[in-house]
Amino acid sequence: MFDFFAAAVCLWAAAYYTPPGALIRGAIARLAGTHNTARPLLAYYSGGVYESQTIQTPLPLNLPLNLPQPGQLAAIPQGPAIGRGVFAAVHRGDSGQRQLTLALATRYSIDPALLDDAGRGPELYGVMIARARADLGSEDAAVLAIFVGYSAADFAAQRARAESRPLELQVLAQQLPPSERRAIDAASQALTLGTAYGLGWPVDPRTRVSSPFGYRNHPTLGRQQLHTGVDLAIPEGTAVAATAAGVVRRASEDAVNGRVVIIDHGRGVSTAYCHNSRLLVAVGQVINAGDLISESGNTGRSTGPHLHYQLELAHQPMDPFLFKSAHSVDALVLSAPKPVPPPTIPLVPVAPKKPNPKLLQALKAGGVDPAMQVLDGGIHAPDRQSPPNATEF
Amino acid sequence: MPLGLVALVAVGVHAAADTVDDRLLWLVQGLDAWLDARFAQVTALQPWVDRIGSREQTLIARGLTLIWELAADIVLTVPMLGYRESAPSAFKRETWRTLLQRANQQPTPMRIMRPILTGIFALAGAYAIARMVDGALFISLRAGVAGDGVAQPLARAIAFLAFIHVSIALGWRAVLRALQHADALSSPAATALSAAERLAILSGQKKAGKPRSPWSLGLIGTALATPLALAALIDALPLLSFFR
Repeated sequence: MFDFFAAAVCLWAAAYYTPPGALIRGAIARLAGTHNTARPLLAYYSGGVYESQTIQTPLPLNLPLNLPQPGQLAAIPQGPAIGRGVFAAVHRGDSGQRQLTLALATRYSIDPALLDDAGRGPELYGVMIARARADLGSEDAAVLAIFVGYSAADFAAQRARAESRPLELQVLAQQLPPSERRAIDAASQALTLGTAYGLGWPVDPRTRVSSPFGYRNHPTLGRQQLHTGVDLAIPEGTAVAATAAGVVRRASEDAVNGRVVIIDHGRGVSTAYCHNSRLLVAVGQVINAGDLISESGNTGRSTGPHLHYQLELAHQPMDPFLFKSAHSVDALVLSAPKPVPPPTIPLVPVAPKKPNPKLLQALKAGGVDPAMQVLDGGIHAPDRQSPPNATEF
Repeated sequence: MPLGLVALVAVGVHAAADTVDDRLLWLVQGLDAWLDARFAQVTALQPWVDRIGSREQTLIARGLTLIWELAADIVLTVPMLGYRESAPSAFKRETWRTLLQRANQQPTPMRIMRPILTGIFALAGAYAIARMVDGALFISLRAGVAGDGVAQPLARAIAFLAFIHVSIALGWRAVLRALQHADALSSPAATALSAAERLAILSGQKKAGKPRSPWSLGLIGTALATPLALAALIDALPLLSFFR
């Protein structure tokens, strides 16, 4: 009898824990005409904690279905990076998770009603995570506690410690049953977004953007193509810094990206720095935020000196400006940049517009040099709406 | 019972594969970087540079891991379906003695490695199952039935008992079945030519090929499963965690 029970437990584990079990559950669901609750086969590997969204989206590459929309990401209030990430992720959870979040807030003497406050929410989440981190031992465990509750996160952390393994989300997720999968996905999203919000900027934050993220007419290929990063107009030889701590995954050269560095920051976040003239790091090297990793250049498929900076979350390219904040770049302001030389290739012709005379008058009255600020008849933030030029990739 | 043995070994193989996927990803990333550098040197191949991005690398690595796991599953779990629970224990002891004696007399790779590999995966599977029982029980007990002080030690104790019971109740059966299967394939009767084959050779319809050697049987399957078993021993069997 007990042996039969042991066999039944083994079958239950195989059905919910292994890809062959998922295949069989899918086949049974299809035959019975019921909903298939099995995850995609590749999501059964622990590294899929940060990639489950990617693995679920079908090829060819689509925009991320589970991450918040770009407009929502940009609207997340200022605050600690991890607090912003949790604030962005927690609003997509269900009521059961919400109760656990509020219970954790009460545990740490935080008014639960203020968590939804646009002005204070991220800051309070940051406080909650800091206190939970002190109790549980890692930021991953603290964020997990927001979604699965303190007890379950504490249990997972204790099991991970007993196995002498790091308190990372992949390891903690293995200690919890399949019923906690949705909460674990929410925690992974919060950690991914929190890491992204904590990124700095590779060069002086005031550097002009010559080509933003998004669809555009490719300057050399002549077709509509997604520009998967931002082009920063800097002279050759400018020092480029890592935007966060991580491990160098690639430091190589090819005819398209030129001399390229790709850094894996963990939690599904990676950044790429292309067209460099000189690489200062090697594959496998562990680096800290702000470490110099290369000198910018004009290598690869490029029509002028610039840095192509690319951010990927769970293998999906994202606009780095959605996560750029005043707080995150303060630590990375480099020494005064060399003056940008005039472009050697003619600018894309733009029909000149007469500046608004009233605006000119207002600027002069305010002591602002109209020649530096007025573009197309209006004032533009210099790092967002520069006209396109031929240095873009 | 045969399905239980299949499930136990499959869970153990998956636990081992789960520790290998990140290493495969590292290899795929290195290979991609090397290929991109080579493609960049040839004008006609330059469009291929960066064709495989980080997402495709992950899919390739996880896909390779899945194929490896399924191959190891087929090699090790299919023989479990032949297990029969019918003989009294005295007969089983005789079977063990006979099988081990034959393995000692003719220690082919199949007879030695397959039971060992099956035993390792059975233990890894039992640990993974105990961990799932631990987590599921804790979450269930904590949901209003017991406090942390009771739920945690109780769940851990039951999980440890589950590990012991699954290992003892099913583990030895899986190893016995693997030994029976390896012995059957390595025996002279299995490697000898059938009467039809001998007739075909004598009549010239078929050429006499190399005689099948029991030493070469199952080498591919063993080679597939051995690295996973090593990974299971190194990463997927922290048995002392029950006592820390």
